[in-house]
Amino acid sequence: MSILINKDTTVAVWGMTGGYGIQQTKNMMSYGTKVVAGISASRGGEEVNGVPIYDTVYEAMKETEINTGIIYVPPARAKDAALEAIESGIKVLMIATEGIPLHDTMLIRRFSEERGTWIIGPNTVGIITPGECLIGSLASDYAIKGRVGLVTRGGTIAVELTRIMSAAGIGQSTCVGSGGDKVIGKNTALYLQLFEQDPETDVVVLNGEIGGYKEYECAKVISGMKKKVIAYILGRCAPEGKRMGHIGAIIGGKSEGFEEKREALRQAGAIVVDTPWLMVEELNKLGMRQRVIV
Amino acid sequence: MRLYEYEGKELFKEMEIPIPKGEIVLTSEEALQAAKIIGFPLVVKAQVQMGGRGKAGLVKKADNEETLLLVFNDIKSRIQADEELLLEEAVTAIDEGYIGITVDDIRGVPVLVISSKGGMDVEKIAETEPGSIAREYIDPDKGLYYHQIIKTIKEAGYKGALVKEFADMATKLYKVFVENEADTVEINPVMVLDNNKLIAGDAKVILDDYVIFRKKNLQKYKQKRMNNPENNTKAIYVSLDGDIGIISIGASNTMMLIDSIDYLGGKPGNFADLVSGVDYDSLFELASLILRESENKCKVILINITLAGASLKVVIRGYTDAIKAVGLKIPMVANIRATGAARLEMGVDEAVAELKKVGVRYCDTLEEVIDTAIKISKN
Repeated sequence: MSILINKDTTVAVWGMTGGYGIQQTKNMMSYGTKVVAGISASRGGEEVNGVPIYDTVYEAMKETEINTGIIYVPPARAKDAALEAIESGIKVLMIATEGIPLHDTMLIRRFSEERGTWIIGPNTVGIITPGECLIGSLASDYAIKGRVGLVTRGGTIAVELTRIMSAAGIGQSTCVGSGGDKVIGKNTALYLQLFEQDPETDVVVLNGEIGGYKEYECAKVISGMKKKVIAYILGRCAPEGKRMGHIGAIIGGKSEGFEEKREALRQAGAIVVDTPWLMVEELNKLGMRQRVIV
Repeated sequence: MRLYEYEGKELFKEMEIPIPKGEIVLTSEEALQAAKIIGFPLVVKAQVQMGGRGKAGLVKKADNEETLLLVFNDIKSRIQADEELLLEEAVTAIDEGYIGITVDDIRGVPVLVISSKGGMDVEKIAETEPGSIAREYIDPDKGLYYHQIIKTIKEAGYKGALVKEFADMATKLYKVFVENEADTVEINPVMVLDNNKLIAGDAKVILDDYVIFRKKNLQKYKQKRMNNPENNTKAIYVSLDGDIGIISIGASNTMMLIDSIDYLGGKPGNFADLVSGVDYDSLFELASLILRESENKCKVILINITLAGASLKVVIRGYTDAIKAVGLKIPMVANIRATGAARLEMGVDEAVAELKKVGVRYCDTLEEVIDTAIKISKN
């Protein structure tokens, strides 16, 4: 099982003809991900990394089955690409692009909810199910198959936590960055629900951070979960003056700060840790160590 | 990016939201000049981004030229020399309300918030007068309908002629929010005059940094902030109190690093992150900035690289060129991890060799580099 992606995932990449897209696609394919189409208007008929390019996803779908999309196009064009992918009926869409205007993202999310597309990101490092499928750039050399599910808000921290777990002999079922932007397609808490349902996941690691209110939604989900959740919040060193009083506080009625989020997660039943190495210690206590990787 | 009050009021004015007559000034001569246009009594307001300006003595009334000079010089002495002040006609309000529109990060939609108790921080209103607040979530596809606005205003406790006045102002504020694709727009207080007309007493506007590239009217606000390194357009740079300078990639990973240093007893000297993608120029500039800022206040600089997407080769070039250009006056320690596409153009071994060539001490693990930096900082 695992969540969202597996060995049957077939992928179309928007922005595959750009330098960054070419490198990422090459790496995903060498991992075994089935990239079947690149979508670049006016480049239809060409090939990149041996993968055919189509002008639109509809043309690609006539020739091959596609259930997953990846977006690497620049911020100004990301909305159009995402809406094309959503319209086409693609089930899972990873939007890697950083810097998409907030109002564009709100529309993308709105339409994805209408059409039932699961959006990972925007501003995400992607998702990996070790040994089966990599979408994006989440630690292909580091991830090892195991029973810990990882969900983060940030990108580089997902890579780092995966690496540190694997170095300690702790494998993962699926690792995913839910997206670093204020508004993302699917909130971090929804991944906790997927992991709770996933028979291949025993323990979940949640990495959150200061800013926004998404961690309180996570706390609500955690309080109803049977599986153990280890929560690691970033931002203990954020200077106080940089956080400004904010209208958001009267919607959520809660604080965007470090201590408050830690406390809410602890009260919800999560095991709260303050460094990656303490995370490993707790995972070891829960019997998650499989083998030592040298 | 948060705008100053007078900048926010410029955007309000474009949408015909009533604002007090005002002028922005830097010197006392300009203040006297502006007073001739505005007339007395007037209010002098420091343009600083903090709540409770009034309590901090940064907003004061003046009835004539003499008190204007006293008040002006008093406020001037407590702000930065290059910070401007807003002079505004003094408006007498019989009541104060609140209108705000922001983006709810959990639902992913805009939300309109109205309260009949304005004038204090919104958090305070929520704490002390929760019954005075009404909110309405907005479908980002359909927009905000007039009847939704009316319903929200009535729920906040307004009746009679004021309902329409608030609806007009909220409609215009929503226009400011949509046309500028803003993150947050607030009027607090909404000043209610004795003829039931409304005027925006303050303006809080937070722009979406990601939208400025396609908004010509907002680009001047970004330009204005380029001189301060903390407002750099390509990067975030926040100076911290500690003595370990940090050059690191990725906001979340950098937070992990400085949190871990702090947890283990060290003192991080800065937080920095690239905003607009990982390219050579941005890497070079940010690393140069950190090197210069760290020279005097730090005892050691820690380079931390975790890469999966961006090319390690580009990062190493940016960093080593910055070190060559600025020079290395304090010890520098580094650790690198790279995976996937990041190491297609340059492997970790080659990257380590490049760093060693410019005098950087390499540590084999993340734990070791943190430990080494803390030890050096304590000697």
